[in-house]
Amino acid sequence: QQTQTITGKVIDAADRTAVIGANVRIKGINKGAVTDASGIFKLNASPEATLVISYIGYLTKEVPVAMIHGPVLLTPDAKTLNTVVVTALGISKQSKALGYSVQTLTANQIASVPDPNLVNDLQGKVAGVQITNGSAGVGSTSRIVIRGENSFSGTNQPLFVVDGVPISNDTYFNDAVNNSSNQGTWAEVDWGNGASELNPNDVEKMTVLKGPAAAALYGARASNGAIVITTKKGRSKDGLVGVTFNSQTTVETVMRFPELQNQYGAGNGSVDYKYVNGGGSTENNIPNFGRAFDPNYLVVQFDSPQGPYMAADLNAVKTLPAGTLPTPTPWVAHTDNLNKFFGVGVTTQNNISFATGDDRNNYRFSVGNLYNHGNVGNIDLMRNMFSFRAENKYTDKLSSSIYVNYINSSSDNRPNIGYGSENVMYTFHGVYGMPLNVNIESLKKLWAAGQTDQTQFRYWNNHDNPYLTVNDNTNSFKKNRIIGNAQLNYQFTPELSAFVRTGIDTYTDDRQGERVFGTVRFPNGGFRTDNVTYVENNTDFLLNYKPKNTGEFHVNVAGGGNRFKQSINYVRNIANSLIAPDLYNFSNALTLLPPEYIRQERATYSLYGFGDIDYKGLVYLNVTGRNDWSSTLPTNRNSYFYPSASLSAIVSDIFKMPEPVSFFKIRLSGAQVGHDADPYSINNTFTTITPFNSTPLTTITNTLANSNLKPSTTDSYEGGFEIRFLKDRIGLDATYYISNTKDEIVQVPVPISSGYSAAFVNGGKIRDKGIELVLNAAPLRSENGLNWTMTFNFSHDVSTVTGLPDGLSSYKYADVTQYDRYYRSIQYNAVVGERFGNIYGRYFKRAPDGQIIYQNGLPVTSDETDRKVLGNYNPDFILGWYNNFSYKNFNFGMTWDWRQGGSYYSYTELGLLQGGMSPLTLPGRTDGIVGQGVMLNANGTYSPNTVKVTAANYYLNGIYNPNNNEEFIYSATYLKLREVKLGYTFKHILGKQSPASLNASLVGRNLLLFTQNKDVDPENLALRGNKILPGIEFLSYPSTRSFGFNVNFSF
Amino acid sequence: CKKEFQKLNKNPNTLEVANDPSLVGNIEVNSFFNSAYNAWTLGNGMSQYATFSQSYYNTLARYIPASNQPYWQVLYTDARDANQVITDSKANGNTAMQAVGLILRSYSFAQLTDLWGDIPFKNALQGQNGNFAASYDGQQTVYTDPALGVLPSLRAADSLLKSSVTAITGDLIYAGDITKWRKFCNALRLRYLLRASSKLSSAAAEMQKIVSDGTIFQSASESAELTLPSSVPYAFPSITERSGDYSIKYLNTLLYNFFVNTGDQQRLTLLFAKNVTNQNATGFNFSYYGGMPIVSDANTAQVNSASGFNSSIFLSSPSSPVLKARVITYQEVEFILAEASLKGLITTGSAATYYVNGITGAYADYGIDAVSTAAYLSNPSVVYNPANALNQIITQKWVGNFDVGFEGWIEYRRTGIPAFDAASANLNGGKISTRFLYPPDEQTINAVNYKAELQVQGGTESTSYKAWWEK
Repeated sequence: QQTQTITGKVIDAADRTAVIGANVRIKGINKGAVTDASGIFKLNASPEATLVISYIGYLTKEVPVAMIHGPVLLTPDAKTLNTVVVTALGISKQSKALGYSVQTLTANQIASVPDPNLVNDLQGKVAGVQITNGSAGVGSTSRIVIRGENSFSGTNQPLFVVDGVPISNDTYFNDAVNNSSNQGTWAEVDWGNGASELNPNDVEKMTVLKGPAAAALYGARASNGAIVITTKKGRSKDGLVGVTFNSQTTVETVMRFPELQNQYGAGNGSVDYKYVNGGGSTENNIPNFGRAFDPNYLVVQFDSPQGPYMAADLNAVKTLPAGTLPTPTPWVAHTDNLNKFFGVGVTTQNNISFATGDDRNNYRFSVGNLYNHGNVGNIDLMRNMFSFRAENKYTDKLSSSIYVNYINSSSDNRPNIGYGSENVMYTFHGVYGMPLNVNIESLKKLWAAGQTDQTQFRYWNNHDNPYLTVNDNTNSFKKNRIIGNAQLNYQFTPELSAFVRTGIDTYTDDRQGERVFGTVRFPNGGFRTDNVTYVENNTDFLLNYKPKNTGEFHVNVAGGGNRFKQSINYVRNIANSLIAPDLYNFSNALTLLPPEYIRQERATYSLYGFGDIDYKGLVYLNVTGRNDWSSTLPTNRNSYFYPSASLSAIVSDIFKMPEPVSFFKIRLSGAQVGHDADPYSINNTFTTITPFNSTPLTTITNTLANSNLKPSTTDSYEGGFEIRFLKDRIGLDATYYISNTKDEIVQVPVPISSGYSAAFVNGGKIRDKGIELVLNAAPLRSENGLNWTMTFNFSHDVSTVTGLPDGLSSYKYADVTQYDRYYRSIQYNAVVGERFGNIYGRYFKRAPDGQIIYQNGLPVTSDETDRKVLGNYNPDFILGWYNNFSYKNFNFGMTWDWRQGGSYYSYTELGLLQGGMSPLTLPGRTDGIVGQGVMLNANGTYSPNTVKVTAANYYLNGIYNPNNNEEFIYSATYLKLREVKLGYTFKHILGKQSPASLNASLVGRNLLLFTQNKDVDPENLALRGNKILPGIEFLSYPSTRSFGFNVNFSF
Repeated sequence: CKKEFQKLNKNPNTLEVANDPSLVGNIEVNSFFNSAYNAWTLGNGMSQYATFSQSYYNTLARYIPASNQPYWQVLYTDARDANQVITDSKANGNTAMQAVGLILRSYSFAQLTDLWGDIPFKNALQGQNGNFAASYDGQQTVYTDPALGVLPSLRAADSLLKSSVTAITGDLIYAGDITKWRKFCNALRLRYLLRASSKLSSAAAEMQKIVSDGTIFQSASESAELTLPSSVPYAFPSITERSGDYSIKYLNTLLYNFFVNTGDQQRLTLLFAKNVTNQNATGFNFSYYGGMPIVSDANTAQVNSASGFNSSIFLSSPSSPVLKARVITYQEVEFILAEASLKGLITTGSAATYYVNGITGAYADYGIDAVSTAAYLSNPSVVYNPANALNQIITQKWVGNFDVGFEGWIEYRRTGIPAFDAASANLNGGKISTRFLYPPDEQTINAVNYKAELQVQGGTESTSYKAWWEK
């Protein structure tokens, strides 16, 4: 029979993107082709033949050759969406064989609107995954927690795995210099989480393994779940090269600025503001409790002119003629300072990939580039990503794969965050904030006349000029990272196979901090370098035996081993004062701290095995076992074994189901994971501290080591079912889980009267319970008409503290303070029986009926030792709603994110309220104010408060006194429009014969936010010390919404 | 892999064996630096030398019940490190180092009990034995316990040094001079003996014995003090302070009045600047300076009339003798002896002589010349007046202890001299507080013992509770 060459393209019916690697077979003949990187296939067939087109995750489609005109649309199949999932060690398994919950995202779902931080691309798309953004925009750390927190001491972060090999998602933060609020204290800088650097365009799919059952084979590091990333492979035919180009440009604008009152300027309530003496003696005049704005009222302000000088120049310029006085200027409001300060950020992400291959070999090469210019100063982020992947089959028995990813990231300036003058948001909202009469335009002058690099031009000397901070007090970095792995497979017999694999994640990060002369913390400038060298190596082998002809039972057993070694070197050099300005080199150091050199190494050896057995594909049983030997535990206790087992049954294949039910599976699993300790937890040491002049000083290390530590364990159980109706148009996946962590190795705080501030002990217990629901639906489905698919991801999780080390009733695992003002700190205390994540703080004393008790007209705050629960930073539930519409060549997607419940503490609000910037501080400005509450009478009864105080006193020292914490707690509930994409696909753009297509989309991220507090974004993290903390908005940069366009071109 | 593991888990960043000289150096730096640091940031306010003008920063100086947790931590870690030195030097027979350990530990415990009252003491510092919850002991025990008490320990240290033939190493205060260490030890003994003298019948005899032995400070040059470097982290706190924190510190009215009443132009002009109103005035007049009463938030009139600190010393002269970190000085010892003599606790010497020596020493501490010192001593209100002697002695000692920890406040609690202002902007119910609260860590993680101590204090913790010598 006559054959002809048939060329066609296979695209996704929902989002119109190419389906790569789809199988195209001629019906009845064992012959076919595979679609290439552009979705194109080419084969020879008779005109009468019928093609059978199939691909994982899609409904198989039969098309007669004669009917092939345009692209062939494959409809995503809810049933088979997760047919094959990549589980631990990179081993693929059938979804229905799994006895535990996993969720997989495809390339389209991940990179539909790529975020510069890969972790953020998961937001709203996976049940049980909670992601919180960092506080300084693009480049910040995003915190990801799966199924809640089960550790006091750990990060509770999942393990990231690329092609079966773990990589680091941690950030090695700069070692802090603690000098209270004094000189030489460098602000925190968020260098971003490790996984943020992965190129979303290289990701073929991401599988989220949620519980320890799924991750038992990765060991302790995966006890909080694992994000298993499979990178794209080259797929093409006959050596043709498929090219895909993707470009996205977005602009970032500030989501919301705080609402400010515009009626009163600086002053302390009793005395009018006047700029005096360089601002040195006028702190009274910084809070906004001064005179009402009045353009006819003239006052000397910092930018009041006198000839070529302004007031803030005068004390610096010694040669001014005697008697020179600044000209008073009108007393007017400047409430749009933030708006003027923050501009528009731009982010461009470009990626081009080339893929080629044949039956035996395939190659893919990809180059990606990210450029972000922040919305203020010279804050930026650059990233170049190169990746190469090859799979080669040398003989029928021997094959290999190689993956190399080189990432070069850098920035000229990462913003200063945290508390204090180093952070520009402290200038705007810290202490009392920037007075509303300050005109920010004047601050662009930067330096007092004739005092460049010596005296700042500013209105108050506890605030740095914000323009100077963002432009000149820089924190730059250059990071070179290589992630790679190589794997060799050998098929001894059809039943027996083996692989060896080694993977590496290594980087060097060279950071530099520069501080100009004349800043609050660095009057003589400063310079520091921090160099981090990180190496992680994982080597695995696995032997797999899958006997044939075992009748109705199918068996697979495997055994292998792993060696994990991690080493971190950190070197810090600091000059806290310089000889001459503008030369950032240690040769220019006036004072030099001794270099700090920290080395940390650890290793774990493991042997593991697993066995899978199933009966007729109806019932599956998986068991695993792993033994670890860890370098961080005492030698007699460093070996520990942990097992897991899971069971699943395809009920719908065993029993006949009612008509609407098309699939029903139940599953059950239990698993244990052991954890080791941090390095150097078992031997007591003496710490070397900064020498005095040149005399060496040592002290006993405040943390008491423990040579009797044993591994801690997490036991977890989960059960669930998956049910689909109406030919899989509706599917529900439900999971209930419970986990218990015990013997946790914690650094318990001990009273310093014991000689130590903390001690390593085994003892923490946490119980974590939750449910996850994933609802898939295809409300509209038609071949050439409107298609609509959606997924709801719901999760509810509660971690409860069920035990603490002996003798402890409460364990403070973190706190946040302004400098070292311990007496007004927010504390995270674990208390037995309480929910994990409780925020403790000082509160207003209240009468039995709940009214605030007043004394002398001001509310009474509890003592510094008297704190209570003010809220909990964990949500009650999270609901993500992912949607995809398509109609002809149009497609539209959007993701909503709803977080219900939880609280956070806002330092920005503290500044706005105490500093009189907020409209909430307007009542009582003219006549004083009588606080709502009661007074304690001498006879022990209460009567209504009648004492009137001035507004300044009431707000500054009373209701918004920062020693009380409860006024600054807000609900963290929010609803966000996380992602929107509206696209159109142009077909045949290179002529009718060419399958090349172009998709152009408008994209947006974080477009809408609905939440209680109108001033700040509730989704924020604080970075304190070396810890990322949720539940605290710590003078964050305003969060941004981004929108732009995306072009995807493939041929 | 066992060998590899042992190698991997050996901490490459810190020592695993003690090095006593560097431990001693660190305890000294901690003790002396923190004496200056705590004084500058809080003690000068509580002792009413200085007024902090802003409510945002000054609540602790206005006696709000507070724990001062950071200082508590420093003192216990110092005592812990001193214990290590004592244990090591006992084992290797270095009696001089053992004495140094005893002296430094005694100072830490004395600070703790003078500032907090009853404290975890006999069972304290036992963490390495697994005992993290130390019970509280009364102040009398801290002072007098035969094994660990401040006074017996110091007595033992003096006799160890007296007969010691071993060397002190790592010492930043006296470069290992054993005689000077004895004088430092005896200065502390005199301070604590006088403090306990109304409760401790043996105090007088022991004081007399020390005086008779004669190994006590002979001049300001022998004072226990540490010259601080000019850069962080050990610079005098004002040098490296944020300018906004520095600029809220003013001369307190009580100290200003003292300067005016005794004609103390030298110390006034050395420590303080002219007020804003008179900042351009030339020459000297007491009216160019001014004090600030204790305030919540100072108003402009108060800001303009009060003197700030002298920036040419406190911001730009890191080597000025004013900016030394001091624990106990010659002048204090002389005033202690003056009071002891006046009260008949000792019989050697005369109160008047000790009093004059004290003032001479206080002036010498700041490097003020002999002519000015003589002029000041001849001021009629300075000249020793038997009718008003106790008041003169204690008040002069109060001034002399400017910037020495919390000594001004502690001695006020003992003597009521000079008359502190308890009315203005006071956040402790109109009273000068008598102690700090126990830190939150004690309350939460040493809860059982903390609660037991509360029973001793009458059920609730208060900053008006008086421990032993103060009762």
